[in-house]
Amino acid sequence: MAFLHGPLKGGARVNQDITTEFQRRFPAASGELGPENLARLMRACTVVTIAPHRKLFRDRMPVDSLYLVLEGEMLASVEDGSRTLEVGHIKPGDWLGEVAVLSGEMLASSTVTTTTRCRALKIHSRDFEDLVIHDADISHVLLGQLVDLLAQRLRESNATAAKLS
Amino acid sequence: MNDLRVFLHGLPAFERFQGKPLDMLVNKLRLQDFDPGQRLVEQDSQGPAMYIIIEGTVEITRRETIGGDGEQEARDARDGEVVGLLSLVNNMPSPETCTAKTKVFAAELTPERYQALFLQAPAVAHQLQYMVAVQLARDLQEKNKALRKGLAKQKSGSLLERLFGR
Repeated sequence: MAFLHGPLKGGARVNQDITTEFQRRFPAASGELGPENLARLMRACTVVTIAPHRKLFRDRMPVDSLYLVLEGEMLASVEDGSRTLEVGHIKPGDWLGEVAVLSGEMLASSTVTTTTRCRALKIHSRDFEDLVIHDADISHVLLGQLVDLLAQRLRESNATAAKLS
Repeated sequence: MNDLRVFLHGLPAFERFQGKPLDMLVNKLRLQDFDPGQRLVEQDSQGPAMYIIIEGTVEITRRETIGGDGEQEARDARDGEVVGLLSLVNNMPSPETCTAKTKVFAAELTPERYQALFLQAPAVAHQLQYMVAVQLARDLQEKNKALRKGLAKQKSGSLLERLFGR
């Protein structure tokens, strides 16, 4: 597994095709944002492509950006030594990195490994915080989405924990 | 009521609000007294409301049983702190028990009144929503830390058995 040394390709600015792709993968958020707010969000993002079987995040390692998944599948797992416990599947329409950034720990809460080629929008935590704290129109939409997503992830982790208890 | 307004305005979470938005928040809160030993929120049950502690001490305990032995962590929350935030999320059992350690005076916000704030004082509702998102993220970090500990404690055979029944 490669990590840090080239799992990501791209970093290109978002064009109209990618915006359309975002609207397809995140229909609720796109609809609520509306064209102007969506354009502002897209300006804060870059596009990255990740090869299959790469680690986008490694459990407990620093994270400085969030990702909005446009294409591909990933697995989330927690690790202890040689043991790995799968805690979730990530698919288009999902966010990544939000736990590290919102919790303030800036450390990955799990290892995330691509199972196929993936494409995602990347937004630096500083730009994300700017939008969430200072841009009320965007914050309202993003926070609504994030609360639903985080609640779902916590329920999944609770279910996994219950099996281990 | 004016005292509560001043108290809320003095908290970092609400200091940027004044005028009507702050009045709307005050209007949605209900003042409650709790006796020592009284539960505000119980772990693994849906909490009834979020509470802003105005006066007193609330003990927060979190019991993890992953990997066999139960472990309990405890800390105290005091004036100005918020407990039971995840009560504002549907179908989300509380990750911790909150018990009055002393006589506690708190301002209660139920999920229904929180939802009403989105229409009547959206900026305040979004601030609370941000606090909920942060709390969820912290709880997810904690849960995954507990899962890691559980992994370390259990032998691989018993782990597979518990997860997959084999």
